[in-house]
Amino acid sequence: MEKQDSRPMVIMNDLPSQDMVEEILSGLPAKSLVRYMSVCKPWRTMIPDDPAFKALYSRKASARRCSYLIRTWDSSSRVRFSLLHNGTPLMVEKPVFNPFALRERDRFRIVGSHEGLVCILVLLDLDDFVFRKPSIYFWNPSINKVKPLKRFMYGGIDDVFGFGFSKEKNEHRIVRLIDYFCNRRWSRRRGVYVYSSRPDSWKKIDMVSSGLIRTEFCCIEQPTILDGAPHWLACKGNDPLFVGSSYASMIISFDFDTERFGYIAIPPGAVGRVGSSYDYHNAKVLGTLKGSLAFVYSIRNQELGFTEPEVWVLREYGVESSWTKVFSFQITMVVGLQGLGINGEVFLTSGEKGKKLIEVSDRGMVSRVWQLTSIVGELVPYTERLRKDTN
Amino acid sequence: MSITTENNEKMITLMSSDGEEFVVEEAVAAQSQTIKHLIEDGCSTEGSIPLPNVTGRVLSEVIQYCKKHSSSDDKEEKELEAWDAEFVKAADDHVALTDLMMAANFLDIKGLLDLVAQTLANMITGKSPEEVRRMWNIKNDFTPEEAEKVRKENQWAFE
Repeated sequence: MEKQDSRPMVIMNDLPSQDMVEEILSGLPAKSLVRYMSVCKPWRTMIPDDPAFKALYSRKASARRCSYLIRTWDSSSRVRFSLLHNGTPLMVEKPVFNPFALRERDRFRIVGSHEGLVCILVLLDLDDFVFRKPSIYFWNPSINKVKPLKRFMYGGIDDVFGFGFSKEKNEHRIVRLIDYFCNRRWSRRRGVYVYSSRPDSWKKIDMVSSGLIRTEFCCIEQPTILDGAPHWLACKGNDPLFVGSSYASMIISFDFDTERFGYIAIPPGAVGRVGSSYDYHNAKVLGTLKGSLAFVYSIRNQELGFTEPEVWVLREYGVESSWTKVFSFQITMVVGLQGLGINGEVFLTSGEKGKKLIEVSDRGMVSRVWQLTSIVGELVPYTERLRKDTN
Repeated sequence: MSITTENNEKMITLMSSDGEEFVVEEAVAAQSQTIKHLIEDGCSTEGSIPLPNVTGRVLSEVIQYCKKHSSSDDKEEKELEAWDAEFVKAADDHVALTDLMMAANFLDIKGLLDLVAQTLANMITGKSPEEVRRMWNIKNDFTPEEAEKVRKENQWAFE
């Protein structure tokens, strides 16, 4: 399009209407938005305080710019976080500033991501790979604010963590199962703890009244958050060292309002067939699909050399007979199942050292491919929200 | 003035601010809620519909978009997305895009408005506040003290 003199003459400001300003600014990442508060006074007021603008921003952020936050690590264990933007026209691996000043051997885990807030677990390498002093952070990646949560001096790498939201208390919470594996049955610290930010504290909850009755399970992978409640895929097994040899058998959830655990069986076809995340040939992933609990698993056909992932969805929450197969597809050369997108996309890794991330659409077709610089640790859906703080 | 084509498509005439006339199918023009309401109110029966806020150059772009989007109901969504991306790429200058957005806003064409707004948003992502002011002649109405205060408040956004 050429510039011509015939365009409308605007003297002071070429953006004449408030509507237009709102439409443009609502398409920006939160970090740029915060920076543009210093453009002029009207923007300074509108960006943080205008309720109509906030609503428009949230609507657009969830509809168009659902991103995926990934944690990757390279051969020297250097960790980085990146955002994969899902909106048009750009689909790029965008590195996010890593706010955690850590050494190479320290360990990270994304515990979960919910409404713009990410929960990160950090385990410091104190002495030759003996990981102690777990620290947990709330992190808002879009504006790069981090809040360390109250330290918990014991517990460690095999604790089970869940991140989620209490609707009654309107705050993000964390549940933590300490020394839960059976070989630590003797532990006096063994128990279920819930973190609340008002005030910054952990409280122990009663195991029996929380409904945590099945003691012989190991939770595998980080939980999926559905309706504010973390959902873990769990294996029956009596020793964490042998998780790899046991089969996933159920889904365990924790409701932050009732502070109770719930149990759901996995899809019937997957029972006794899919094992831990270390076994890529029969991998499985828990996720959500258009607001329902979903489950993906794949069994590799060794003879024919392909994997056939199947995506299942729990149509009616809590009703095990409502597990429905949504679609399946065949794919060769797959290293691992990584996650499920909010619209039913399946993320797989492939290629040299698993650095190629493939997105398969809900029609079973490869829709996008990213060549990453390092190996994927976790992949979680991430939606930006305008948050003034990290609460 | 309304004309009917051989296919029995009702045609209407749109007139830009600089007097250029465009004859388009009613279904194409009705992608604009503003024009649709004018037609419903009977404004198109005599002569052409004047669009005092839109120049001929911008109007021809808008019509191109409306034609594509009125004829592609049964087409693949992906193809339309690719077409949209090419369409805004052709207008890669923020002045042209702003004009297009003003027209989309005035003519009330939701799809075009969203498309251009997002393109402009992508264009300014990462720019400094000063660059953004220059793009749209926005006056910096902060005193130096106020500016410093705002910057301090938002220090983390500059990292």
